[in-house]
Amino acid sequence: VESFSLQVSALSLWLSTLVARPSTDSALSFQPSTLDSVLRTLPMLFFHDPLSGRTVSYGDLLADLRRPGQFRPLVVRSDDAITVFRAVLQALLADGEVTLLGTDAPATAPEKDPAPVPFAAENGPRSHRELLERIRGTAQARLVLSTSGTTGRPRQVAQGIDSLARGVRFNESSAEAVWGLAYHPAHMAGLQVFFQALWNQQGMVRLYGMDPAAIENELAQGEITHLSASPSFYRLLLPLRTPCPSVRQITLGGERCETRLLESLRTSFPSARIRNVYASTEVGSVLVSEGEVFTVKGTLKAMVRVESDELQFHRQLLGEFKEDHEGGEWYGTGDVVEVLSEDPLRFRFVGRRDESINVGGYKVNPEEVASVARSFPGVREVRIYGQSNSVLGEIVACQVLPRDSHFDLAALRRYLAEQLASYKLPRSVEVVDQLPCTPTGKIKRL
Amino acid sequence: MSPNTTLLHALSRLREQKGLTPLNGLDPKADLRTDLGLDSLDLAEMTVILESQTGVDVFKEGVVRSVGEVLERLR
Repeated sequence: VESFSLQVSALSLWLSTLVARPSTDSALSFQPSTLDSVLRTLPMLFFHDPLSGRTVSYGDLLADLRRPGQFRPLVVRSDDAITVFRAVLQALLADGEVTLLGTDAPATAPEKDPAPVPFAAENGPRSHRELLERIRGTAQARLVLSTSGTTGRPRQVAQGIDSLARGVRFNESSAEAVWGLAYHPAHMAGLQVFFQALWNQQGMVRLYGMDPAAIENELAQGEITHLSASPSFYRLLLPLRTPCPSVRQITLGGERCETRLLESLRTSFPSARIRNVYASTEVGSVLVSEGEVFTVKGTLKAMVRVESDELQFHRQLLGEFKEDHEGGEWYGTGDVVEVLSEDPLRFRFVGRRDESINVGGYKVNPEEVASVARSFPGVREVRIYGQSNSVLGEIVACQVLPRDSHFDLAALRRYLAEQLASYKLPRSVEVVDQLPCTPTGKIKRL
Repeated sequence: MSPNTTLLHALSRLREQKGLTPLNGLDPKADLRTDLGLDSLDLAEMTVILESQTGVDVFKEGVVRSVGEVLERLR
């Protein structure tokens, strides 16, 4: 069996060198049909969706992009990663634009979404290498994304390949990596994982939109080696029933991540290196840290600053906004940070500025309340939000997702009352069996 | 549960949360703030408790000051 699999991998290696040759090599000029049948045999996993049971290899992907008579969408409303990623690649190859929306996005009525346009099969790349070269060379191509928005109305931002792939690393040694895709594919964070996997010809397995038990089952298969998700995703998942040593790298981002969560991650994923990433739809992926403290280094020093506790980025780092927004050289992220040192700039996240709850004129940071509630035994995850109230305008409300059915709600209330100033105390506390999440896996605030 | 019992439970719970003694009965003339020791945050919570149990937001039509006024809104 061993020698057979050796032969198979040698064959696929030979095939990949063959198809990687430039088209000018006349000695190896294939008829499209022959080439496509060769492409189909490239075995590397591109994407597996456990919910639909669909598996697509890199060979399938390339052959599909070369299929004659196809169209490419200008607007994609889909929760299917293969549909979204295919449309992204078509837009990049055609040097065009595509708008990505989850199925939860509001309809653009009264206007209808534009009809798909023809996509020339001769634009389809013949090899993974050619695909990457072509994508990197696109100057005009734009992906229009919606900011995820835990509060308020989503905004649209157009990104070119430069900012989309800014945080992507080319790393030959991790060629066998398989990413668990925990983010919605149409959102910035999901696309970061897509480009990271694509750049290195790595596979992805769907984890977004799945419940914790199904996710744990997928992880237990031992195939997934890399995970990138929001702290809320991990809080809902952990602790695992049995530790998962096959995961080698854990990436967190998008929300504050506390030391307790990092410890829990280390227990459930004993072989993983843990990275904390700062990324947003507006700026792409910018900062990386090992724990909860971010350090601004190198060329970013001149482009990142903290003003009145808010993290700000220089305009040079931003994508183009589809809507007008106040000019100025600096862009406020709305992320409130605590500065630990000025030079080099080191900080950690405290919460979101626009998410504070106004209790009779007192501003409450929901993240602070959530952090206290999460420290109570038996709490898996909480949602802290403002609930309108006829006495104070807003009060702090709390929904609790307990670890099991033996949860003591009265004890949690007493604990919160001991730990929190009275205006910060959730005045409505309820146990729920599910918390509403945004498409990127953050807990909704409203 | 009668409005009387509902309010008695709610007020007792709020007082206990503040380290005050629970109530034995309701005096309609008792002022929620000065006699029962509740602040505006407690009153906000009281509206949440009462609304979840009776469907009535007692502060919706304006301020209520005494136990009797709350009972009136609940009836």
